[in-house]
Amino acid sequence: MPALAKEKQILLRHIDTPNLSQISVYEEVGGYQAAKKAYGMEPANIIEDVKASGLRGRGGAGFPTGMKWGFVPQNTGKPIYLLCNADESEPGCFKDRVIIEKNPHAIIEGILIAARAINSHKSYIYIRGEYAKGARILQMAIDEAYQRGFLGKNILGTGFDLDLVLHRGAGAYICGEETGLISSLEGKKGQPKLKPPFPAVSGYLGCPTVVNNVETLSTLPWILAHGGKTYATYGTEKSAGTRLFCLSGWVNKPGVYELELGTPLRVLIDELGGGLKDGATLKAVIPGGSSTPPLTPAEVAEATLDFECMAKYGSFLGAGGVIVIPEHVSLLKILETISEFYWDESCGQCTPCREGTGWLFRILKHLHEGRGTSTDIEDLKKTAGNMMGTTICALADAAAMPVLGFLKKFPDEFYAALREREGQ
Amino acid sequence: MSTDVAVKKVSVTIDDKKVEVTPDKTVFQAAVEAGIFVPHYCYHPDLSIAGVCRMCLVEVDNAPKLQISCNTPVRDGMVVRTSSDKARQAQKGSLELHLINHPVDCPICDKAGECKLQDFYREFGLYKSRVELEDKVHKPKAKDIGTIVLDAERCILCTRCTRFTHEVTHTDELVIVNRGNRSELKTYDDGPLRNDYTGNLADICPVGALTARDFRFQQRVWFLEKKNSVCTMCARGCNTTVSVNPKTKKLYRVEPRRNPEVNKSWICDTGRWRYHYVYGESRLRTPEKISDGRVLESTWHQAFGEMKRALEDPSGIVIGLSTQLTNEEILELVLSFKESGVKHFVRIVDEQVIEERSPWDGVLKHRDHTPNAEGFARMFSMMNTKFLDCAGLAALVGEGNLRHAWFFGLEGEDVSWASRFVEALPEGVSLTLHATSRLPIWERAQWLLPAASAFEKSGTMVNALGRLQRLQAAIPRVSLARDGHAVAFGVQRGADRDAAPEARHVDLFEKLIAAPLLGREQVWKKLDPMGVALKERS
Repeated sequence: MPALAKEKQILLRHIDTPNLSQISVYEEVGGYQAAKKAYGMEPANIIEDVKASGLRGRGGAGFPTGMKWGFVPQNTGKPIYLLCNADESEPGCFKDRVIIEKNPHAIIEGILIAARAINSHKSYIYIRGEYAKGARILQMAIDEAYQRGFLGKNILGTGFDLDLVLHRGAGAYICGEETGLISSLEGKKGQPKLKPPFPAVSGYLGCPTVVNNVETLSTLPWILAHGGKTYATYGTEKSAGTRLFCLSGWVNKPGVYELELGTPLRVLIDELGGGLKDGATLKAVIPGGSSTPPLTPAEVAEATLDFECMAKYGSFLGAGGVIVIPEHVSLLKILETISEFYWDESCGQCTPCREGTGWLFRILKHLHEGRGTSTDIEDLKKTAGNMMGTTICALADAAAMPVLGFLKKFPDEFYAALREREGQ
Repeated sequence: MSTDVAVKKVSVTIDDKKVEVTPDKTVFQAAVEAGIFVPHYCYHPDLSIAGVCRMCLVEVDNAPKLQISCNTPVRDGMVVRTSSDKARQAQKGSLELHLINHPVDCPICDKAGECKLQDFYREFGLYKSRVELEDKVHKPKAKDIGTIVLDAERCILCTRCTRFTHEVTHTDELVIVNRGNRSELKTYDDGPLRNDYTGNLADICPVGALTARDFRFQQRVWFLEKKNSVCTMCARGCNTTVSVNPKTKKLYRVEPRRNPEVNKSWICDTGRWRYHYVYGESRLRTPEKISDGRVLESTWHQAFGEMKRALEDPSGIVIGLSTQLTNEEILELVLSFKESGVKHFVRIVDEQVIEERSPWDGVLKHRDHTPNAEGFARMFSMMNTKFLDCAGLAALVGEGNLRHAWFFGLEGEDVSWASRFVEALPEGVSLTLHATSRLPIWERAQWLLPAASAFEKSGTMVNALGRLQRLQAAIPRVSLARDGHAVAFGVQRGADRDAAPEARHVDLFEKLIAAPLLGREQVWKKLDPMGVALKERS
């Protein structure tokens, strides 16, 4: 299969090299060469190259990376900050963790390139508190990079300075949202900020700020080394390159797989993942992490892993968390668990999210415990509907989308829960 | 900074109504200018934008996603719909979510009648409740945090109060702890509020989460009528409304009235709660004559008679006027006594603070506890009359001819700053005091005459910012209290006929004060309720 041929070519190409997290090993396999190249380039040309690559943010929203950099004003007289979002918290997603623990220098090299492109001299990696091992490895890598002159004053003799600080979060999902991350890094309660102003103009400490995901940054060295146009030959027209997919659920070989965008979803589940465990029948797949609406078996059979196809099925690639659900698992229980998560993690500032997440969870809990009432399904739809697009950040949408998605695609299972109750 | 260059305005269409606004405005502000009401909880004109209540969602240029009008900048040609089906649905949806964990204990809530949850439910909600009561999230109720009572369960977490303590008083006592629907409004370390502006928290709270202890369970707000006035507790002259029950004619609360030029939406706790002296134990209700340490209830008739007799030799009389009197009272008293031949006038003011270079507290309060020192100076300069300070009074005493000192208009229970004027008088000088309250510092007086309080009289004052503002009587005069006009009238006639013209202040203002101060004619009734900035005193 052609898709398989391109597996592991970019992000995971050296992932099995022993001790890759050590700078000497990383350099042996060609590490920091792309950064050296970038430091011989004009920032504008780096941005152009990344724009040409078609790289879109890998944190979930899929915003074009080069374009994001282009929004940063260079004439404000304020420092420009580059923040690396390593607060990977979406249930079903664990890809950044693999990069952080196995290949931390790829992140640092990506930061070097991005900082050069946007003219930033201070960068932070915001890592989720639970990634304690990852934080230790990253800190060692940062220390090594300082020792080798890739960080600090006068990098590679170019006169360019860059300081990189690792900051550990305290375990809130919402700090993975870029403005929530900024609030937290500023020492405030981790709550998303109103836009406008956008972070590119007024972000960390009121200064121009770019927030890029771990995977996004780690892709940059390859793009710089091989050229943006080459990267764009991978994937589809609107979904360039490869991405990491986190395969979990009822499969034989769960794990992180790198696939060219546009690869059929079945390739991931059946060929790389070895199919469903115990020969179970597929019931549904959550394609992009717990916030993304599910796909039916019929959709799974047809689906390809790219932004366009997911949009067609009313879902998203999100942060690449593919969760496989077999026939014998209750979708109601899954949805209840998902709702509990968003209820617990809502920061509480916007009313629709603060109250809506609690209400959704409450109804689903009642339904699951067999205490449902005849209006529950309508109430779920209405409440979720009132949460969509009505809040500062996307957490309310993240909580509402799976509810609406499951109800739309698997209504029978939810009505059955009600009928059971009535039959008692 | 204002410039003469006209800012190019942009044109916005809101609900088919076209409005021209400056480009720095938000959609919400443009709607206000167009006279269109957009429901809101967290927005407040004198606080930063929080954008959290999500009640002011509107449709902008038919975009699929609704925008919060409070944080959306206007653009030229923008088309906004505040009450399209989609916008209304979102507003209604947000309101329902506001209410799902609200206790709906309106029957025992002081906010009832002026609660935005109630108002918007009637306007935008009117749905059937879909939540069972035992499902609600419960939080602490009726917590004592000082002047304010905190009910976390009623709180809708709009953050107006936390922004107030952060941005206005810079004291940060209030915080929201925890997250999601466990978020709870608390004071830092569970301590009390520690600022001089706590009463505003009850005003800005759109629901009954923060209520003023002073007003708790006192009155249902729908029994009250509001009258515009100004605060007289310091030289700021904050604009206020005074709430009175028209049946009992009793005063129940003082609240700020928004004036961006003077006090924004705030007043201090002194201005809000010190009004109790009006009904206080120490309030003078009838003229009192004190001789040999004995207090005898007397009459205005007798007092005026004695004063009239004393006026037969005006050279032995000094008139003291408190800077708590209105412009009209000052003018009337001075003109009247001058006509009788009195030559000496003393300004009774807090002399220690009047010359201070930075008299402000950083928020609103002026260190001068009297409201009209500026008006006093302007009235005397208008009348080409000189006044003495305390040292001048002492010098006058030294000349040895003084027999009577009549001090007018001393208001309130906190007038210790005036005692030095009393102390300047030797024993041989008889003192007549026109004051609202019987205080130990007045002990040496021979006459105590009950003065009308600022809530019982009308007139104008000029605040420390040089702004002419209107004071309006909200309650009838308590017992036999009289304002300066009635006193001047009575002394002239030597008898209490109580026939002083009711609206004397209107006459004096329109005929003698308006033109010199404003440089134009001004009808009393039409004086701007927000006051008028005067040209600087030369």
